[in-house]
Parts: sequence; structure tokens; C-alpha cells
Amino acid sequence: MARYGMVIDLEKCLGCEACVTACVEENNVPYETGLRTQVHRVVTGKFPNVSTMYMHRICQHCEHPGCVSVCPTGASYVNEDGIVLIDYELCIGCKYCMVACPYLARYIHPERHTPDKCTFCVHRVKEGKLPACVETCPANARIFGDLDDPSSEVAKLVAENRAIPIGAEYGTRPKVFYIRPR
Amino acid sequence: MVTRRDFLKATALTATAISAGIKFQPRSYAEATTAGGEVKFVPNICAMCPAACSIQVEVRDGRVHRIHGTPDHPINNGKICARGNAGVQRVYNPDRIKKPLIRTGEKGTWSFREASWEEALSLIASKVKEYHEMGHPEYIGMLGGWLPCTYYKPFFKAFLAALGTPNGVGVPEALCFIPKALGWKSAYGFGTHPELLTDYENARYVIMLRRNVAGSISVVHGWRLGQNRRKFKLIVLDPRYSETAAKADMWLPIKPGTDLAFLLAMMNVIINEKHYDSNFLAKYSNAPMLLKDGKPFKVWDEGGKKKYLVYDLAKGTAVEHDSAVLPALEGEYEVDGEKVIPAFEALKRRVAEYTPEWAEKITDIEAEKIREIARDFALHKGVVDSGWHGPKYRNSLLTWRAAAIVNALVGSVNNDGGLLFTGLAQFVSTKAQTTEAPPQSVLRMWAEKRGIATAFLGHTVQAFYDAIVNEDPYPIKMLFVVGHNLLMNMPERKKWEEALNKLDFMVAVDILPQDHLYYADVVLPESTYVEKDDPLFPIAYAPAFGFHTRVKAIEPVYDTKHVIEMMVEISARLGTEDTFFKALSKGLGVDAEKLKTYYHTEGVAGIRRAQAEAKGVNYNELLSKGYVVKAGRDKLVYNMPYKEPLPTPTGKVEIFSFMLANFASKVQDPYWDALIKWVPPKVSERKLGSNEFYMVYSRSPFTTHSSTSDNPLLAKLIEDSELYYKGIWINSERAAELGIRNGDRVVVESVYTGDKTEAIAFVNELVRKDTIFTVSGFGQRSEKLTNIPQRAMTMARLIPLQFDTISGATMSQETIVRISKA
Amino acid sequence: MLILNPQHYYLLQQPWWGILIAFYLFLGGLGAMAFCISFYFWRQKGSEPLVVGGSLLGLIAVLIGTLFLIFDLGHPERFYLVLLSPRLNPSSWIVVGSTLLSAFMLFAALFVAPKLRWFKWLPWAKSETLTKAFGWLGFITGIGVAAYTGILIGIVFNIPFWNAPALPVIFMISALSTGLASLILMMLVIDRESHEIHVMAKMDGFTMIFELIVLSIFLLIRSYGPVAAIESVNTILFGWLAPYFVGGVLLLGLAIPIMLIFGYEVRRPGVTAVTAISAIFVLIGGALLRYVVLEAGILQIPCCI
Ligand SMILES: Nc1nc2c(c(=O)[nH]1)N[C@H]1C(S)=C(S)[C@@H](COP(=O)(O)OP(=O)(O)OC[C@H]3O[C@@H](n4cnc5c(=O)[nH]c(N)nc54)[C@H](O)[C@@H]3O)O[C@H]1N2
Ligand SMILES: Nc1nc2c(c(=O)[nH]1)N[C@H]1C(S)=C(S)[C@@H](COP(=O)(O)OP(=O)(O)OC[C@H]3O[C@@H](n4cnc5c(=O)[nH]c(N)nc54)[C@H](O)[C@@H]3O)O[C@H]1N2
Ligand code: SF4
Ligand code: SF4
Ligand code: SF4
Ligand code: SF4
Ligand code: SF4
Ligand SMILES: [Mo]
Repeated sequence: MARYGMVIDLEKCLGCEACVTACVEENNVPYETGLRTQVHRVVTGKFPNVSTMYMHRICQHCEHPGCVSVCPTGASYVNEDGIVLIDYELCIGCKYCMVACPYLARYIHPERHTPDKCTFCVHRVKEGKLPACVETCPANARIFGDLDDPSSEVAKLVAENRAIPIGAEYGTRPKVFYIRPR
Repeated sequence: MVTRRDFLKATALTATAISAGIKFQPRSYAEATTAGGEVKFVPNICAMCPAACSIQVEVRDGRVHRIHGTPDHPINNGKICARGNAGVQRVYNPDRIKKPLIRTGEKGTWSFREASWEEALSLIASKVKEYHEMGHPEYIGMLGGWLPCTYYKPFFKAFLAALGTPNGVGVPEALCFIPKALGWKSAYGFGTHPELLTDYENARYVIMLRRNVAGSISVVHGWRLGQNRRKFKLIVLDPRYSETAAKADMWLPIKPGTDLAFLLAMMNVIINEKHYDSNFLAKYSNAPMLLKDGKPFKVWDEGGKKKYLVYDLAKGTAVEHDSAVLPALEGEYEVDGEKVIPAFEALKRRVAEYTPEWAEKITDIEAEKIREIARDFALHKGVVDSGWHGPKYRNSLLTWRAAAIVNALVGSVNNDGGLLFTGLAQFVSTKAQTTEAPPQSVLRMWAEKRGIATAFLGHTVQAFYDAIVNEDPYPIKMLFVVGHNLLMNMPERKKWEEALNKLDFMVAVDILPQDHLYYADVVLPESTYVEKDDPLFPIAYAPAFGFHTRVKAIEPVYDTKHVIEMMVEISARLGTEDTFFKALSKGLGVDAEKLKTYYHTEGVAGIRRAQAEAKGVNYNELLSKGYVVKAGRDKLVYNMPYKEPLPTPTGKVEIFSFMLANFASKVQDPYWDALIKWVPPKVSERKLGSNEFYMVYSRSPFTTHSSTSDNPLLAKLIEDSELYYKGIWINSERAAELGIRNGDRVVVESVYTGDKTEAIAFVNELVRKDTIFTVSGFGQRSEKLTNIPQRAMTMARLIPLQFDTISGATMSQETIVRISKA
Repeated sequence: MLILNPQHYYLLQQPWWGILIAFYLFLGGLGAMAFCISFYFWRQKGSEPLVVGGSLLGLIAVLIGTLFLIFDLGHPERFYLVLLSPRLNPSSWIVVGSTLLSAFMLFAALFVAPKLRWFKWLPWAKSETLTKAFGWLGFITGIGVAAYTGILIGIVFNIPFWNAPALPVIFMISALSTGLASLILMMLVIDRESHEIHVMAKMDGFTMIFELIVLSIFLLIRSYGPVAAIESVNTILFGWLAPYFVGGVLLLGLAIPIMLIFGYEVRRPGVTAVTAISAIFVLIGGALLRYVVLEAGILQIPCCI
């Protein structure tokens, strides 16, 4: 019983997309069709006062997940550690969860014909390993841990309000938090 | 506001994402990720870029499942980048060359038949023999890309010996790093990229110029910079807003090619305002060395080092540097009736005219800002980053030399928070004797004829064009191209197409059907890095000293060989195998007989065992972990020049460079001298026309030059980045003047070569008005590459084939382009 | 992806629910309401062909709609899980909807079957009460089916264009209107002399006027709504969906039929061609309405902090 969460430090993130590729390789993601996590370049400003931020698309493992509440068959569910998962056998492929996810976290898996998304690398986490994207990140910009464990780095960053959620207005209570770049 | 455009783009994106379908499936996606079966982790070194990260290849049931960074390795600390991760896709890329190929049709077309190794190697050997019989083995040449240049140099030298030709070169020397390496070397005695490392862990203030660590990522620099990002102030000079600029505290959009002026103005401020570290300069540099009329006053050799006089303020007389108590840095003295000044005083006088106001006019950076940075830099004992790639301008060598001097002025040399010298630099490079190219080398003769000061290094790859096409200084008729994407990375592609067409016989060793293979007569497919055992290599880039290697993780997927095997087998067919091993023995410092017998029992792994025995490396530890560390950071930092002399002629940091003085003596009108001075970039001599721009380039964090653009996963990331990495960046104001809108097709034409290429415009605010920016490495023409990003430009068409007379490098940004709507 | 100068969100048209779902929403609403209207006429002692034909038509339309829904699934063969999954989520609107659909089809069938020649033997064929009960149950679940198609997408809070209470109402009205139109067409085939055609045509006319009003209010409100909703309104009024919406839904599906009904049908009843044409237009408009609404579903995705 844990409440896993992730902090993405956009100050440290170099936009190198190592996380994206590690995820693809670890989870056999059909990248031609979709990705479990993605890095967007967000460009703002007027020369020379400009900024480029690397925003990460990833399942937020919401505590009030839109995807789960609309899923008819219970294929989308929250496991005992707060990780939102898809039971590919129970899924009928109605795509309601995709429509209802405010974070565009899901894509259709071309072979399974069901949605797929970030699993927080639950198979690794269960073995006591870090998610693939976290393990590989050169800048340590992705931090993973138990939000219920006050000594974990994620819990501290969230408690200090340094890491904040996005799309809070949707009331989904995401468990992925972002540290704002300067 | 999300504009209508963005929205439409987003919709278009979804549409393509959905319609694109699946082109290529490396394996069944539905396959469970937690599949059982035998799992093993095999150590290796990533070969997706030159940064040499240590990796563990995870093999499941004989198939590479994933690649991980080696935990705690001093280079990459368990991390790897996108390319490192996507290495799996290189191994299983169906575009790979799967068997030796022999040409059947016209050059310039893909007409080959598959052949056995026996047939292909014998054909090559018989060709080589023809030249031997002709009495002209020197008509054979060889080019190696960064991969062979980084790992197999001694083997190539041995192979050249076996072929009997002096004409081989690693292209990165002239195309990548020579001016930068020589610039640092002129002050410190070394300076290639694996030898220098900014101490990001302890840095207080970092100035990064002409470099893009966060974009041209090497994990070693990437993690050090990224993980420590909040600890130091970062100033980035770049004509465009790079990935590194995006992480900076201050971005200064400097005018291309003018960093030298900025650094000179920094020197001016630091020296005039006396912010320099006089203790460091007086003790560990030759700043106190007495000069008369700009030349060393008195110099003599002693114990392999140059000795000279300084003015000892304590004794009131000139003495040899090391016996001085208080060497004078400034002032004018009379010694033996001659007026002499310390080198530092000469420097001070030299930079007196290089005021921030002067630099402002050249660089477009406000004088006040330069002043402020110079003061902050000195106050925090900052560091100017080492750079990596640096052949871009006529003044490249001097720019990096200036960086070395600025670091020395504040004493940020091989200490905490300064510029570190790696283990490779301090324990390997210093011991290696520098070799001159043989006088009959085509490269050397060509460069000497053109008055290039560093001709003796034999690195000017440009010579091959004249040798092939104009037989100048003599013909090259047969060419080996090994792991080098010649038509994508050599300047002025048109000329090289002409040259390759003219060749009598060309052998290409590669893994993918790249453009230049269309001109090859025989193609030899190499095994990829995870499919091979490799020799022992010193650990590079890291604040540590040790060795690492590659251990074969899987059997070759196709009928491929190790390039070393190819070289030995060709040598054997020529009857020169012993020559090969003898030459190799010299290069590796291992007994030739041993090398040969070990090789014949164990293959390339045998060479590694022989090396390990010679170097006293624990072989089991090496094979299980992939690396052994012999000395850590503590043995390196504060070693040179504090305890050990630097490999400079004087053993000290050279404010007066004997090397540059020597170079200057070799040419007619040197535009440099032994100190430092302003040299404008060539492009500044031309006034830009209304549709003309300077062109600057870099890399994307998820591609390596042109060799990864066919990697299906990395190509997908490039496509997903849309115009950001695929387009050419044009400032919105200039674009508006030219009627160019975002996403428009444009024609980019080189003012100098006249060649052109099409590109897509990324109209933005991220680049100077006088400059366009592009990521290079895309735009291949080979139809056999099925994954490459579409509609990107071929940059190699736009750079003229040229050289500077100090370093012989390609001056790859001394070019101006015209942009018009397609 | 490259995002230039965003403000907190980027917008993306939902790519998942397309034409199949549009048809399902259309046929589901149409069929359910066709049945309800038939039941109403049954209660009014309306003509046998209308009641039986209409109920059957409703039933079949819903059945076909359901097939569309099933074919849109990634796993059509698992469709039964929407009711029988071991981890069924009863609060999912798909479960609610499927239950309503199933119940509707069951009651509609029970209601109409004994009226058919082959099923006269059914035990409740003679029982007025039971038939009435089934009819009522069919009626109520039918209303549910028609309303739920709007709720299904109306609860999707991250697609602000859909996320409005007016949407189920619009779908409901449109279902009524297309249900009427389908019955009109049916009657024109079976019994073109029936006066009920004109009653229904008039009803449809008023329904459409109401629909036009609600639709306008809905668009007006949405045009002040969150960015994505504004973008949706722009897209259907001026963007690539404008031909479908302005041309198809507003003109062809509403304005022209309204004009035809009040300008022609009401004054000169009996010209079947005009009635038929207006009914066909209504059906096209109704189908396009579902399509346009689905396609205009623009996600508002947070992208900045
Ligand atoms: N236009 C342009 N030119 C440039 C540069 C630029 O940025 N733009 N950069 C310059 C710099 S810094 C450098 S270092 C050079 C790099 O120039 P290259 O060394 O040519 O670099 P790559 O483009 O990476 O091409 C490497 C080649 O090796 C092949 N290859 C990959 N793996 C293997 C292998 O295991 N075995 C063999 N035999 N072949 C393999 C690839 O298919 C490719 O053909 O280019 C220089 N030239
Ligand atoms: N991802 C990735 N990483 C790589 C490689 C790769 O191919 N891909 N290749 C490796 C190799 S071989 C090399 S050589 C290195 C090269 O890496 P770097 O040494 O960082 O060199 P570049 O990528 O050419 O560009 C550096 C930056 O200089 C800027 N610039 C251009 N002109 C000027 C100028 O006049 N002044 C200033 N101040 N800035 C200027 C460019 O806009 C660019 O952002 O990268 C290594 N790492
Ligand atoms: S790997 Fe780390 S630094 Fe690179 S893009 Fe992902 S989070 Fe950012
Ligand atoms: S981000 Fe989307 S898919 Fe992930 S839990 Fe939240 S609603 Fe579900
Ligand atoms: S597509 Fe699958 S996971 Fe998503 S809502 Fe439907 S049944 Fe649930
Ligand atoms: S946690 Fe695992 S599944 Fe999720 S993005 Fe990271 S690597 Fe992919
Ligand atoms: S930086 Fe990336 S590509 Fe280069 S060696 Fe390291 S992991 Fe490989
Ligand atoms: Mo390079």
C-alpha cells in the first residue's frame, strides 16, 4: 500500500527525451502510433526575451481519474498503490476513457486494440526498481516515490509546494507534479 | 491564447498520427513486457555518439530487450540519453546491410549483389595488390568517421601500414575538433573533448559559448549540467536560443563568429580591474616569462622542458622561473641591458584596445553587460566551458585559446569548480608521443603546399578531394570509407559526389545504406556495438582514470563482421598480417606476437586480454562490470599543473604559447602570434544582402549527426518535434520582410558553393535577425533508408570546402546563405 | 509537439469518436423517440400501421444503432462485458446507457411483438394491462435512451463544448424531431392518406423551432465559454465544420424543413413530395448534428504551469 507519484522538475529537464525512449523500449510501446509519455517544446516570448519549456505529457495517475469513472467494464482501475492501470482483457475498446482524460494520456494500441498509457512501470516498481524513464533521465528531472512517505523526495517537494499539479481545475487530483522552471 | 493556427496544427497532427499507421514493428508490441526467460546484463560502451557512455545490455532469450546506463560509472553514472536507449533500434533496424555487397551496375545507383565474405575480401585484396604491383600503394586512401576515430585509431594505423599507404585520416580531426583542441592545447598542453571537463558539480559560474551541452548532449555533460543546474550561474552565448540557453540564467544572442572579441573584452576588464589570480599566474603559468620584442628573452631546454627567465621582484633580478620567489607579472624591466617585459604585461598591453565598448560593436553584446559578466566571473572564480565542436570559424583556434587564458586568469584550472583535466588527459595523453604524419602523406603535402601551419599533423581531409579529382599532389584512386557518412558530413557535397564518381575503387564499411554507398564498389557490413567484443579503451570524459570495453551481448543478427576482423583478414590476404600486428603492437604498447596469437585464439577479445595483461587490469572485473577504475577524482583534481607539469613545452599554462609561435614561424603572414589577438570571422567581410543570412548549426538531443536519422524511433521523435528540429529557424521579422511564413518551403542557397537545398521555414523569435539556424544530419537521398525524417534540408551542400591556415580545419560556418520562397 | 505561445492549454480535436458513434447517437435517439411517439399514438388510439410500424421502426433503429456502437469498439466480441464484466462500473454512463438500451429493446419488443401476426400466441397478447405496462416501460426507457446520448458526452468535462446541460436537451429534441420525421416517412410509404402524417409534420415543425432556439442559446453560451468551447463554436460556424453545421444542420436540417412545413405543408396538406423532402432533410440534419457535435469536441489540455 503506497501512493506513488512523480515529480517532473522542469528546471532541470533538458528536453533530451531519454525518458520517452526508455519508456518505449521498456514497455514495448508502438511509437509509430502513440507514446506513453511525450515531451513538448513550449516556446514563448519575443526575441531576445524568449523561453523554451519542456512540458511532459504523461498519465497523471489521478486520484479522481476521469478515465476510471467513465470506464464501463472496470478495465481502467486504480490499483492498491494508487497506480491507474488498464486491464487489457476486460477492455472493450470503447474509448470513453480517452475522451474523458483531460491529459491526453492514452493512445490506442494497434495490436491490442485497447487504450494504453503509462503504468508507472508497475512491473518494475513491484520489483523495487524505478520506472524506466526515471532511471534513465540524465538530469534526474523525473523523481518517483511514495507520496504517503513523508521522507520521500516526492512527498517533500509536494509538501513544500515546490512541485505543483497541472489542470487542477479539472478536479482530477493528479499525482504527477511539476516544478516550474525559472 | 491558442491561436487558430496552433489548433489547426494540432488537429493536423492527430490526423497524421492516426493515419500514419504502423510502418515498422520491431517485434510484437502485444508481447508482455514482463516476459520470463533467461535475462542477462552484458557490459558495453554506447556507440550511438562519441561520448562513450558505459552501458549494460539487457538480453532476454538471445534478444536485446533494453540498454541501461552502467550504475556508478564515472562517465555517465547510470544514465543514458535517448539515442543510447534507441540503440536497440539500431541493432534490429531492418534497413541494415545484411551481407557483403559487390557492385553490379552504374555508380550512383543501388545496384549490388550479395556476396560471401571470402569473395568480397579477396576482391578487395586483389585490388590492393594491383596498386602494389603498380608500385603505388600510396594511391590508396582511407577515411574514418568518429566511431573508428574514437576507438580504432591504432588499428587503422596498423592497417595503413599493412596496406603500405600513409594516407589515412579520421575525419573528425579537421571537421570536428582540431582547432578547439589546439586552442586549449596552446595553453594547457591538451584539449580534445575527452580531455577537458567543466566541473559542473562544484561550479559557481559557467560561461558557455559555441557549445550546446544540453542539445548536443553527451550524457556525461548532460547529467552533470542538468543535475546540478540550480547550483551555478549559467551564461550562454549563442546566436540562437539553444537547449542550453533554455537552461541559462542569461542568454546573449551574440553575432556569429565573434566570441573571441567577447573573451578579449573580458580579459581587458579582468586585467585592468585587477580581478585576476596573480598567485596562480605567477606560479603555474608562464605569464611572468620575460619577453623582448614579443619573443622569449632567453630560453633553454632542460629535462625535456623549456626553461626561461622571469623577473624576481624579491631578488630584484631575472632568474629561472622555478627558483623565483616573487615573479613579476607586470611592469618593464632591464635585464642584461635589454628592455624586457613579462608575458603578462604583453598580454595586458595587447588587450588594452579590446575594451567592452570595442567588443560591443563586434558582438552586439552591450559593453555594460560584458563588464558585469567579467566582474561576476572573476568574483565567483568562474569557468568558461571547454567546448567540443570547434572548426566553425577562421578564429576558432584563437577563440578557444582565449577561453583557456580567461580561465587561467582567474585560476580556474583543474580545481574545484574550474576546468578539470580528465584521467585520459593526465595519465594517457601526456604519455603518448605526438606523431607527425609521414612527409609523403597526401594530406601533409597538400596542406604544406597551401601554407597550413599544422600541415605536419596530416589531418586536412580536404586534401582527398584534390587528390582524387585533380591528382594534386598525387592521385588517390582507391578509397576505404569506414564508418563515415561522407556525403552528409563533408563540406560541399557536390564536390565529393564528383570525387567518388571518379574513384577507381571504393570500399565502404558501414551498417546502413547511407548515401555514399551508392558510389561504393564493395560494401562490407559491420556488426553493431552490442554484437561485438572490443579492445580495451581508457575511460574518457570523466574525472577518473581507468579502462572499459565492449563485451558481445548477442551474436550478430546478420552476416556481419568486426572492422578489426576485416582489417586482419585483408592483411592476411595481402601477406602483410605481420606488418599489421607489428604496427599495432607499437600503437597499443603490447607485444606483437602475443597480440597475434591471442587474436587467433579468441578474436578481438584476445586483443583485449593481451592489453589487459599488459596494463595490469583485472580481467574478470573488467568483463563482469565492463570497466575498472584505477584512480578517482581525488587523484586528478589539483594534480596538473600543481603537482605535475602540464604537457606544454614549458610544463606550465602558456600565456605565451611556444606552440603558436612555432606555427607562426611556418607560414607567410600569420594572423596570430604567441599571445592572443582579434581576428574577425571571414563572413564579416561581406555585407549581408536583403535575403542573406549567416548559417549556424547544431545537433538535436536525439540524433547523432546523420547516423541516427534512419533510426525509426529517433526519426519519430524528430517528426514529432515538428519544425523545431526539422525546419530552419528564421527570425520572424526577417521572415516577414521576405514574405516567408511558418511552414513554408524555402530554398536555401549557398553564396559560396552555389549549391542549394530545400527546407521548411520555422519562423520564430529564437534566433538573431542576421542568422538562420538548422540542425544538421537530415536530408539523405538514399532510398534504402526507409525511416528518415521527410522534407528536411541537406546542409552539407551549403558549406564550401575550405580551410584556415592555422589549424587546417573546415571553417564550417564561414558561409552565407540566401533564402527565398520555394 | 511544438507549442507556440500557449496560455495554459493547448487544444486538440478529439479523434476517437467519429462517424460510427455519430450514427449510433442519431439512430439511438431517433429510434427511441419513434417508439415513444408510436406509443403515444397507441394511447391516442392512433392507426394500427403507425403504432406497429413505428414501434418496430424504433426498435430496429435502436438495434442498428447499437450495432454501430458495437462495431466501433476495439473489441466488438467483448461487447457483453458492458453488462457482465466482473468489475462492472455501474456509474459509467455506458453501463447506464447499455442497460437502458437493453431494457428499451426488451420492452419495445414485448410491447410490439403480440401485435405481429407470428407472435399472436404470446401469453400477454390479450392482456391490455401488460401491453400497457410494457409500453410505458418502453416509453420511459426510450426517453432515457434519447436523453442519455446527450449525457454520455455531456459529462466529459475536459471537452467544454460538450460539457453543457443544454446538450442533452438538444439531443433529446433532435431525437424527437428525427423520430417524427422517420415516422412521417414510414407512413408516407405505408399509408400516404393518413392524417397523422400532418399531425406529426406540424409537431415536427414546432419541435424544430424549439430546437433552433435551444441550439442558438447553447451556441451563444458556448461562445463565451472556455477557450476550447469558443474554438468549437468557431469551427462549426466558420471553420471546416461550417458546411456541415450551417449548411447541413441549420439550413437543410432545420430552416428549410421549418419553412416547408409552415409555409407549405400546413397550408396545402396532401402534397406528399414536400412532406417527404422535408422529413428527409430533417433526418439528414439530425445525423449531421451528431456528427458535427462529435467532431467539434475539442479537448482543452493543460500544458503549462
Ligand atoms: N554538415 C555537417 N557536417 C558535419 C557536422 C555537422 O554537424 N554537419 N559535424 C562534424 C562533426 S563534429 C563530426 S564528429 C563528423 C562526424 O561525421 P561521421 O563520423 O561521418 O558521423 P555520422 O554522421 O554519425 O556517420 C557515421 C557513419 O557510421 C556509420 N556507422 C554507425 N555505426 C557503425 C558501426 O558500428 N560500424 C561502422 N562501420 N559504421 C557505423 C553510420 O551509418 C554513418 O554512415 O561530421 C562533421 N561534419
Ligand atoms: N545529441 C547529439 N550530441 C552530440 C552529437 C550529436 O550528433 N548529437 N555529436 C557529438 C559530437 S561529435 C560533437 S563534435 C559535439 C558537438 O557539440 P557542440 O560542441 O555543442 O557543438 P554544436 O552542436 O555544433 O553547437 C554548439 C552551439 O553553438 C552555437 N553557435 C554557432 N555559432 C556560434 C558562434 O559563433 N558563437 C556562439 N557563441 N555560439 C555559436 C550553435 O547555435 C549551437 O547551439 O556533440 C557531441 N554530442
Ligand atoms: S530524460 Fe529527463 S531531462 Fe531528458 S527530457 Fe526526460 S525528464 Fe527531461
Ligand atoms: S491522466 Fe487521464 S488516464 Fe491518467 S489517471 Fe488521469 S484521467 Fe486517467
Ligand atoms: S476503452 Fe477500455 S479502458 Fe477505456 S473506457 Fe472503454 S473499456 Fe474502459
Ligand atoms: S513510468 Fe514507465 S510507463 Fe510511465 S512514462 Fe515512465 S517509463 Fe513510461
Ligand atoms: S551520450 Fe547518449 S548516445 Fe552518446 S554515448 Fe552516451 S548514451 Fe550513447
Ligand atoms: Mo564531432
